[in-house]
Amino acid sequence: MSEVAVGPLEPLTCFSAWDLLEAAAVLGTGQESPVRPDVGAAQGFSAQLNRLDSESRLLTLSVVEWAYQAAGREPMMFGAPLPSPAPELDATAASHRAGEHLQVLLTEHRGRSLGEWIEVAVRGGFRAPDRLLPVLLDFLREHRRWRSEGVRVLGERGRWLARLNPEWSFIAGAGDPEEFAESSHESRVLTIAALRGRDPMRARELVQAAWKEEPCQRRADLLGALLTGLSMADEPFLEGCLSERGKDVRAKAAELLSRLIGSRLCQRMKERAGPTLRFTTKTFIGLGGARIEVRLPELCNASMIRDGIEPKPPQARLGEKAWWLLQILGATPLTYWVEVWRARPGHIVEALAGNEFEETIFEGWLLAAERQRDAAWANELLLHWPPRRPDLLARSLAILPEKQREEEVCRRIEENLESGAMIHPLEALLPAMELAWGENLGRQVLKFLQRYATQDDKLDPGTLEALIAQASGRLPPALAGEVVEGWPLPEHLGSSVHRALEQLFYWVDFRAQMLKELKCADSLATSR
Amino acid sequence: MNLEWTREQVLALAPDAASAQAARALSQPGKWSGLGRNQRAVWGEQQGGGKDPYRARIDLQGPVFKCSCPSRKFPCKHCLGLFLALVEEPGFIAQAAPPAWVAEWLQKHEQGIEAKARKTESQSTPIADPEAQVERARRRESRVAEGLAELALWLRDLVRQGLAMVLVQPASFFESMAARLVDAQAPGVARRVRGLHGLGGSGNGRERRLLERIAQLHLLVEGYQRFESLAFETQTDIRSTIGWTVPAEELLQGVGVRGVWKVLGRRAELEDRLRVLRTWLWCAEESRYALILRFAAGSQPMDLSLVPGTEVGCDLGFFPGSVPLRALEKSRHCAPRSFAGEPLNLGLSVKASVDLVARAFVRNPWLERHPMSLRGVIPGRRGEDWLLCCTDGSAIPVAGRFKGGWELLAMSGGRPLGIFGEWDGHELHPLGAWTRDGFCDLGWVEGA
Repeated sequence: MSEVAVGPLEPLTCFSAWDLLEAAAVLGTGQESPVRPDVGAAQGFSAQLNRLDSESRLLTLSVVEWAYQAAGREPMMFGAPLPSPAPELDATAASHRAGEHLQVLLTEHRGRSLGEWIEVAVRGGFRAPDRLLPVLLDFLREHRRWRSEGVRVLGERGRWLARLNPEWSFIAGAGDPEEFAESSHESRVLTIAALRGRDPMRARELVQAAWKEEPCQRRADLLGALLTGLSMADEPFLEGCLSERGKDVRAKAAELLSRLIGSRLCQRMKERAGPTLRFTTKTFIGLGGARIEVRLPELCNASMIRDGIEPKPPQARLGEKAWWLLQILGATPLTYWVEVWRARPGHIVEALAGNEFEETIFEGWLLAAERQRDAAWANELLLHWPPRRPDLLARSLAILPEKQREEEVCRRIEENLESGAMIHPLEALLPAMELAWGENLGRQVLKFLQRYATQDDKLDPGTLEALIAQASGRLPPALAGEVVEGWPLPEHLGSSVHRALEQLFYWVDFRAQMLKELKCADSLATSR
Repeated sequence: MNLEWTREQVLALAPDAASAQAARALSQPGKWSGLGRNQRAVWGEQQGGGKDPYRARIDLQGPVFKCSCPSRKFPCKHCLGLFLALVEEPGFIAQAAPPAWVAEWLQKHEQGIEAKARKTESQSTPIADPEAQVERARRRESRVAEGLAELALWLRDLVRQGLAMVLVQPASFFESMAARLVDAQAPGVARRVRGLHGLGGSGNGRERRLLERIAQLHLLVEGYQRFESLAFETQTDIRSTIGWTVPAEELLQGVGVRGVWKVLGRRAELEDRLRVLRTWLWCAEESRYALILRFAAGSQPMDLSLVPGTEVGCDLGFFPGSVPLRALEKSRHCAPRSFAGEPLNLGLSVKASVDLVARAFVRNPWLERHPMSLRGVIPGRRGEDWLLCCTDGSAIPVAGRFKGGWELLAMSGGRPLGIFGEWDGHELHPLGAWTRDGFCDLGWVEGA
């Protein structure tokens, strides 16, 4: 081992003096590498240091060198360029207190009620507070399904921040048409979805411009984003997409076209649907005793497949031909039947009763009503839903305008309450209540819950808990004061129901405070 | 005066997240009966699970909490909920004369304070057996001398073996030396020896830091050997580093430093099974920092009543030394109020701050950390590391253990902001930040 030593040093190169000491110390003085006393800042003390043994000398030199450096410490230089500042012009950050709620939702509740926070914040013109942007971006990275919602409260500051961290690149540029060309694929989809609400034509043109460079699955994603603001102006482009090679792209385009009753695809469907159903009446006076005769389609040819008809049925319960019929009906404008049969929707649906293919045809028309947002048909379907298919009840309800849907759900709960038996299966109603609740529905559900909270023999406890859980996220916060009143005593409740109720009380209260903070008129003043 | 508290500051008193949540749920005045308040206190009854309601009361001059519930958390959710109700809906809590259960408590509580003060006085009266005490002090001196002599040999051994060997030693290797120092009545040195294990986790700087710490200990041994020849301040530094404490009564008797002290940040750490909470204060009039230490063992609740973002008017008694930072609260002359929403005129440039702390480290080379307030810095990222940069390019590295780099950048928006934190000689651990909108505690950041 050679001797660790250096000659006289300039103060500026003191670092290397320390490096030498450190090297000697790492090896240890037992390695016969005596440290010479003239290292670094200790020059000039060599006479005293020479008298020491090598351990003491190393320790003493280290002390001197360390103190010397600590005393003359200079700040380091950053060197790299700093990011350019975030845009000054931005949505107002929500208040610190509103942010507190957002933080709890993101970190402790995995996004429960997050949609509500975002909705109210956006309506008030607020974005997430600065300090929470990293938490929000991390959350969006982990929870893909929240991304299109989350982008709405990032603001300019959030988008600026996302551009600086590769982990958040999925969202960088999202919502900004100017950056479309440079954005990641996912950001492009988010941008299109947001832009369709404001400027559908510009959004479609962006998609068309990017079409060539996107691979098949991504093209399908972009088409999916066109759902918002869909109109006949999109028809030529979508019709062209039916000739694409990718199956997902074709299916997505056909799905969108089937919502446009003026589309060429819908006209072709009319021609396919016409021969399958015949509407007959026994008497010439009135329409009583009307019936529907069915002739299943014989084959599924290439042009049907091009128009999005899937040849293989998804479940065993449906035969091939019935499956084709269902899909044809789902893409045929409902107005077509009214025109060719000269009958009102009510009579048409009524004529279905007892039909061999009742469920198939019903589901086909329901699909059409969903796609065409046809509330009149939904209303008729609601009156005649096949009891064996509770899932179709909720789907019919979901098409109705908000107020009417709420009334219909309310009425059914009321009927359940009055009869003491479940005429309308609650499981079937639940999905129809995924949307916002008004105060009437809220009170009705509370009344129902209070009646059945102790009678879990009549009601599956799982369903009861599911309803309570739903209520905790949907009950209008205006009822926060009422929600705690009128319950059976805790000792009469099952422990799981009791727990669910505690959660309900807590959560409705939490949401009430959350909305209060967000709507607070002085949010502007206290935001920071 | 109670309105000066903000909701976040009240919630910051909560011992854990569950209590904070529960308190939020209890903060509606409608959930209470018998609510009332006066200048001094607030009280209310809460129907819990049992037959009798829980009686929660708060002396706002502390704040001091008391509740009849059996919860072992402190303050409990009832007290926090009551406090929140007061801060959020003061209009719902009427001014009233305190009922007996509140008045009695306030009185007892006050008597307790007086009794403590009397006890302090009586303790300062001459000791019963001065000779025995001198003898005890002499015995300790000689034990410490023996312990440090042993430490000197141990340190020599370390550098003889080489730091490469030392770095791979198990905790027990350091623990046995630490235990001998505890026996030698030098607990401060024992703690530093324990701290040599697992220094900074990993990275290239480990050898460097280890050698620095060893050098620091060597300097302590040398300093103690030449104790008599050193300046008084340095003697005090050496004694307090070794573990001699100044009796609190002595401090409380001396002249305090009066001022309005802003709480800029706090940080909890586990030191040998003891939870230690460091709370940093700043007084603008005096241009001076203060450090309040609080301790809790096991499940003992931690006193969290100095909340970042509030300021309190009080007299502090400082422990002596060449860089006096640690202090005790002697007396309070003004209840806490929030300054979080106000602009904060505080801090120096990176260069001036480095100069300032360098001077402190020169005066007391055994200093473990020093507070630092930076003005006009922008968070920057180099590789995985964060730095706080002045516009002239000078920069300060942020501690690797601090996990809020992106939060700081989000708050700054790429524009200068103010940062308060602990400087350990190499890195800054941020504890508070301020922009033109006001001050924000960073205590909620993971790893803070």
